[in-house]
Amino acid sequence: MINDFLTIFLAVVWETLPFLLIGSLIASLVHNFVDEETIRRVMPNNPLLQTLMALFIGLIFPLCECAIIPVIRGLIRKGVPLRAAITMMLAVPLINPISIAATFMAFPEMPYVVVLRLCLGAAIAIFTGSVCSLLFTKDILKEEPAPSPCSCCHGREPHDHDHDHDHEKGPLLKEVIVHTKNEFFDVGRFIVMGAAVSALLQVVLPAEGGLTGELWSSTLLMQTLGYLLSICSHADAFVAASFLGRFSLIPVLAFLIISPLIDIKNTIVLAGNFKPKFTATLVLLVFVLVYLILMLGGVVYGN
Amino acid sequence: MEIKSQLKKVLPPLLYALMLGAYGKLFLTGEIFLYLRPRYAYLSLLVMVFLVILIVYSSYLIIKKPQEEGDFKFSYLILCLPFLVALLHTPEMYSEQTIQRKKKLYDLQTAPLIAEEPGESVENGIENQLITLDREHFYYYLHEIYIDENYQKYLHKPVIIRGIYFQDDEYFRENQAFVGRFIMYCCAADAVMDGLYLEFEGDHPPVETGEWLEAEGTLEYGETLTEGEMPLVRVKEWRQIDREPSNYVFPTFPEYMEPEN
Repeated sequence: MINDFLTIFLAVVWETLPFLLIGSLIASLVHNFVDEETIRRVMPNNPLLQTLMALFIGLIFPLCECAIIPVIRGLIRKGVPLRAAITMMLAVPLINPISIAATFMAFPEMPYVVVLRLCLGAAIAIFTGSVCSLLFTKDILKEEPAPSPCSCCHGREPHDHDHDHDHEKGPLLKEVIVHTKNEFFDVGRFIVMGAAVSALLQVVLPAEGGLTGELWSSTLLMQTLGYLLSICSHADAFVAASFLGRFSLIPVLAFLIISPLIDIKNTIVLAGNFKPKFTATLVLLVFVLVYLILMLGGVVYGN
Repeated sequence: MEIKSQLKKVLPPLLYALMLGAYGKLFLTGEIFLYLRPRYAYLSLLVMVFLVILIVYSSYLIIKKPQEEGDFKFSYLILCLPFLVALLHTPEMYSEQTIQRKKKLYDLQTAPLIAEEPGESVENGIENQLITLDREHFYYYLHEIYIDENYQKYLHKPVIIRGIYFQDDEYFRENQAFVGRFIMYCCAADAVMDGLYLEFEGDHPPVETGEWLEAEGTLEYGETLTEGEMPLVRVKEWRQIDREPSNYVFPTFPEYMEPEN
């Protein structure tokens, strides 16, 4: 049993780390070379085009669900409409080349999983962005943002994290190495915990029935797990794929969709940058939407 | 406080070296391929290069900038844990429970041709060739039989299968057992046990689950305890064989075999 646990645990870790590194490196390059002013300049005025751009900007700026929040905060301050900003915040970690490639690799014989993940995630991002823009017309940002656990402070004390980098910067190569390292190790901790939980569930859950038998409970369990494990959107597909034998497709999709949209780690970042009412509404809305859509899909198309 | 500060500077290169050493062990012993499919295993070289860069960078900081405060967080030690385990752990055969959990189940939709007589075969272009489910052709034939449901082509043909023996009264009829291998899609975590049912004339052989067996017979079609009617090997001869270096095969056809396969 211990051998089984360790083999599965280590396999998930070894598989995930290279993708985590690639994600951390790209996030670091974007962080160091692209500021939110550039993104704001290219944002169109037409609401439809804004939404489309918000959906697909992750293809150019593949940030994870944690790293995107300070960027979005800066965009809202600089006047980007709330609908587009929230849609972008939710969509970028999901609709970006690293996440898409990782999902393809994790589900090599199930390309429809990639399509379902992208389409359902995009729909939830658009809907949540629209609802939030209707519910919140006043400023949703906190006056003084809390320190971000997004490991972007280059070893310095946490500071107002507008990513303007008005503090004294070291050489760019050093900045990239340090930022990549911090991102890699920060998120890597959660990967290790996620892999351990995944391996434990694989060796202790019964082969049939139990939690894997009921659609409502297994979907809720996997969605909660996706939220709590906080695995980076660049690597979570591999962990999700390891659950396939234990759970049917709908619960695995719940894990795959909730994980890049919201998790406990980015909720902490959200709470540090946005007002509590907005943070609570956003998290609850996304969580309930993912669950309802998948349950509906399960009822219509089967488990 | 001073000790903590010093630790933050000295620990990182040591930990990066530990991580690099663990990766080195995995590649030198070939154990990495017991965890990962080769095409994904080689991506780990990126992490190894990154670790070398970090070792050089953190050593440079210690030597050239001893006054600069280190940015290492002690919670980073969590990521070092799997590397430490990897240095001490060598993956072995899965337990009986995990083999059972990982067994792939099928629900075949295509019924065999009823009119067919034993000894005859449907039109398939395959003469009485020996079908060998060895490491190289294991996935190919299983794909033919279960995924494409082309098993009619192989009914009544001589077949040899080599793999991990699995018998459990709860899941198999008295005179039936199973021989399979783990099909690894990406990593050991997503591996599934796949193979063919065996049917013996009398009792099943005195082989323990998890041991390796070579069975020779013909491919037939029969009732199983948990999966209904399935293709199975009616065994004429069997022999226990040595365990192969890897329990895994990859979902690749012979012409696209990965180098380590």
